[in-house]
Amino acid sequence: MRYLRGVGVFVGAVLVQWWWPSRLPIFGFAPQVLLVMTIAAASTEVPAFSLTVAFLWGLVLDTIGVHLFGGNALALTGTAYLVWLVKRQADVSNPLSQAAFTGLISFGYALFLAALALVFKGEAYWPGWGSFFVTPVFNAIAAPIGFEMLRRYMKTPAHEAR
Amino acid sequence: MNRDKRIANALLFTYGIFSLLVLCMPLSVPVLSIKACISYLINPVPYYGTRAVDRVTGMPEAVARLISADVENMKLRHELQRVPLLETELESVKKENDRLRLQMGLKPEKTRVLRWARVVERDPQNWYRYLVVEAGKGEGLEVNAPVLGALNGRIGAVGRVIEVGQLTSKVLLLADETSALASYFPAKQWEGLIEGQGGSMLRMNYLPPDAQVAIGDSVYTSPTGVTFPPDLLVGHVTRVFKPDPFLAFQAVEVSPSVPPDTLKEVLILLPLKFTEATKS
Repeated sequence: MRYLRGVGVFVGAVLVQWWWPSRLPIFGFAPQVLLVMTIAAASTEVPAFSLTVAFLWGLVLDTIGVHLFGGNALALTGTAYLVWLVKRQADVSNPLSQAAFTGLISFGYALFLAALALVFKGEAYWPGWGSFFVTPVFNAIAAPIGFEMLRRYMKTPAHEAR
Repeated sequence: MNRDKRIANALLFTYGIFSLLVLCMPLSVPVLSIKACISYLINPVPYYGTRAVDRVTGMPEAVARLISADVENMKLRHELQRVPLLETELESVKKENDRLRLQMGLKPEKTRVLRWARVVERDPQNWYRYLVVEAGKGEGLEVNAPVLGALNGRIGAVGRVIEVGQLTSKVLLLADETSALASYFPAKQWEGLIEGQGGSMLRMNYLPPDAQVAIGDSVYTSPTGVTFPPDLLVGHVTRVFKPDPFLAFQAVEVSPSVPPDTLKEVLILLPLKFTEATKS
């Protein structure tokens, strides 16, 4: 049953990732739903699940994009691992800390992707300063919703979440 | 915890190595096959997703439209009676044109099949780089098909198709850094190359150093281009860059005639086909 729920989370997040930017962009910006869900999954689920979905979500993002196939897969897997490593030191139990945590990681994620593009393509494919500063804010706002939805849907027991 | 740590390390290593391999060999056959497989799986998402969302949100509007469509239908039926006459006139003008072209020794005129397609997916991180449209192999789309957009009744070049799926296709916009388009100023015949900057503006390079370009001048697709038909509006000059002593050409900044962020639908020119008349 839990495996099926995992598949549901994966597909649901991909659908929201498609729907939000296409249908509800705010001033041309939208949160990176798959990044937010990766952070949420890595904070609340076991690493086997969070790293796998992060990697698969990354491949989905890479397929949607036109440059740097594999970049998002590496970045999201790395993010999931990093979050799993630091979650014992970071308090991600309340919405404010979830938002701050997600916002901070979003900056790192954008910089990491730009660096990867620079290394592998010789060009950063920089999304622009507007996107660099606004998207993490959107991610931060979306984070508590993502954390709560994942927690409710996966029904993660407290002892497994830690 | 130790077991979790071992699993996490093993997964990070496996996925990391896989991602790096994919990054290192973007054009190898296995990587392209993996990409094609994933595309095949996720292609239906925007297509069926758009349909489902539209069906739900557009229901009240659809009923209102149905009523007004019936009234409009009646009017159009009356107007339609004029069409056979117009068709006959058009056919005769076309034949005359073909005959004159033949006499002048010009190549036969090519025709294109047009297809409107809705924009079904965009990525804010790549807002000016690409978009996904609701038309695929089924509609006869092919890679490199030119894509146009409309704004205030004017048609302008927007990009070209770079990937064709069964139901959807990916359009590389002119603003992408890897896009280039031969263009010219029809009044003066100065020709240059429009290149994307990854933002909202385009840059036109390789203009003659003595070209007197003014702000507001219109740029059109060049007759020497292969992908786009000639004389399609590309944009207007918004800035003339100071001449660079190290470069043997002049460059200007061009604002696209159809800004990519306004696109809801695009017009795709399907592959060139010679008309039956020309073939014969």
